[in-house]
Amino acid sequence: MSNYEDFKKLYRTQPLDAPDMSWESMVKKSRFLKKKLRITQLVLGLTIFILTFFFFYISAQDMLEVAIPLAIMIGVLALRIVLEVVSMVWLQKLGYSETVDLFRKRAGRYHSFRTAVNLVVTPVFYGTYIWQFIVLLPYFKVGLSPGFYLYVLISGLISLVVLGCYIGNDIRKELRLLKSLKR
Amino acid sequence: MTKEKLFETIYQEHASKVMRLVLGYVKGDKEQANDLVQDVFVKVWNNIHTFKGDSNIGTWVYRIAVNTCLMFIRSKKKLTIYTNAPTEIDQHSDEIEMQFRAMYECIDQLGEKDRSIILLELQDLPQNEIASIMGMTHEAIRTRVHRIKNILSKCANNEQLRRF
Repeated sequence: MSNYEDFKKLYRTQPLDAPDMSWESMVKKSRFLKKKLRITQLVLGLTIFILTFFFFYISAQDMLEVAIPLAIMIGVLALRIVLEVVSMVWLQKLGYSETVDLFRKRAGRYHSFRTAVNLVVTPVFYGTYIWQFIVLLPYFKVGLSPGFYLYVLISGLISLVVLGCYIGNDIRKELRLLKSLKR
Repeated sequence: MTKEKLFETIYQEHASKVMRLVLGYVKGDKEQANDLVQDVFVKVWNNIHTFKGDSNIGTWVYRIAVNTCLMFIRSKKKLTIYTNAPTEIDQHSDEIEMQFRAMYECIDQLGEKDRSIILLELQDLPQNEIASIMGMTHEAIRTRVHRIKNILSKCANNEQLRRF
């Protein structure tokens, strides 16, 4: 086994460098990341509240043909946000201090959930959202000024394309991760 | 002992060892290793309350380090090899750098589990501690280490490492 011993000798010649950051800055970073996560969750929660508020603010419930598509759009968006918060909490509770074997199993389940969300739930929600947006367009045309209608149409289309690209990229990343977990 | 004091002690004692372990997962790229070590110690800080003292604190830190590295390498594309070889004399350091590159190339050819096991072995951790980190039996680790040593010996027998 002299070759492995040479290998080990070489490995041990690496300088035992300390990381660039002090322990105090690590604590500071941890606190900052925790705060950032709480703010993200708060913003997502607030988004659901604003969407619901908007629904009642424009008295959508008084006009059933507008209320249903709008409620569906808000509903799928809210559900997707809830799933995102669930993912965040799950990721925090994966148990990094558990044994590698147990952690790999848990990480596998988490990534299966993420893949299901990205491959099934999100495309269904995305399709539903586009469909309801198209259903609402004639009402927008009647109810809004031509300029504002054009703005809603163009900004809506751009948002959907950007969102579509983002989702596609996210799905690719999750799939790569899941593939490596099965190795 | 306060949480801060405990964390400081853990950091002073284990940061350099974690750094060397992490380098094995990122093919010697010091910049990525630094980011990863930060990530490891952020998790150490966040999970410090879960340490019950039923295992060695070093074992506990290594578990977090290995799990963090596994999550990291899964989410990254293929890495380029970088090394931190000493640089006293140019020609000599070039040769050492080539040996380091070859060493990381050999480690990188191993699967996730094997890579983790051998990196812990290279840190001189006893096999029962490696078993406790990996969640495997001592016997399983012993067999695996023997097999990985053979693989690495074959790999080490290439041009760069033979000259070492």
